[in-house]
Amino acid sequence: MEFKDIQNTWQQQSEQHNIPDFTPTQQKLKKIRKGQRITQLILSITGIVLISFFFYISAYKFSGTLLGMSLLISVIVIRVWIEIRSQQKLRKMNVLLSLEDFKTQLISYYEQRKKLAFTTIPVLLLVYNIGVGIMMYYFYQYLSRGFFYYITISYVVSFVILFYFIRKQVLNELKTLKNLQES
Amino acid sequence: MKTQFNNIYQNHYDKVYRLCLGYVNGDEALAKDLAQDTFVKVWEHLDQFKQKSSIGTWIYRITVNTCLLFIRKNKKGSYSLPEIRDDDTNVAETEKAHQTRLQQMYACIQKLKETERIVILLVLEGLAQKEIADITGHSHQNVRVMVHRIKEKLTKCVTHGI
Repeated sequence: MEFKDIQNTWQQQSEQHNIPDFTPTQQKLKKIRKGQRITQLILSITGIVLISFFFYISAYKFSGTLLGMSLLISVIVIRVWIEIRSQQKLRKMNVLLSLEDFKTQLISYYEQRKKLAFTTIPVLLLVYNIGVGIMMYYFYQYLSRGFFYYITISYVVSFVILFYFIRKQVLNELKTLKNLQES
Repeated sequence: MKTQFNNIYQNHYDKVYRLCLGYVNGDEALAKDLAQDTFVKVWEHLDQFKQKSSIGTWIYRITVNTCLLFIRKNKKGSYSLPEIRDDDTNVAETEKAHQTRLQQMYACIQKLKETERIVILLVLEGLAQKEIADITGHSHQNVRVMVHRIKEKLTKCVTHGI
């Protein structure tokens, strides 16, 4: 078989006779953009309120529980912020570049994600566990044994599940990076 | 602007859809999503079209980049054979052979590396090597060598299944 035959077969594929209407997509996109702006506004306000509240409380009273909670909340806020920034970066990628330049841009994005996965994320997990450790100390002192064990077991289970999903996502991104570098 | 976009959408939808279809192994639903994503980007960037190349080349650039961006989803599409009516045996047989070959082609295209897959889809669409060079950012000479190599690979795979 010649390549010309393959090309003919390819071009003989039936064309899409019903081109989908683009108007619903345009309207949906406008709604999504509006939703994104509202979400950003809500997140910013929540962040400001949380930080203000933190300073307000810590100015009058410093305690181990506050430190533990601060570590936990900070890790979650930083993690969410990293993900939001990554998504924004991906959305803002310049699709008008040539394929090679676009690929370079995409590789650089996944290399940054790899760096995050092997440096920032482990540090965040460590800090999170320190926060949990501090909280556990107080839980052990002030809560009933049964409730303390319930919290401990729940934490271990949720951490294992969380770790599984983080690992899965990282492996997925490493595979994507490898595919891009090899192509 | 809206009329200009509508014209572009009507005139270029088929080729964008077909390229996306090839990229996602003939999965129609995924290809439709990718084609819609492509036109969302065309719509957003239409004011940046500088007419340095033809609008077709410009749209292909956005299409191939959108396809490459899809890599992150790690989804594997699958080509499904369309239904063939049995009322005319000869036509049915010819059509069946055509569909089987198409299925084999989709499978072989999937075996190629990401960039190779995109380049061969552009070749299959009948684009000139100069235009492919413009879309991919490779030199004309590089594209010539690359196209020759991928063509051989694909022909071998479709003919012998390797």
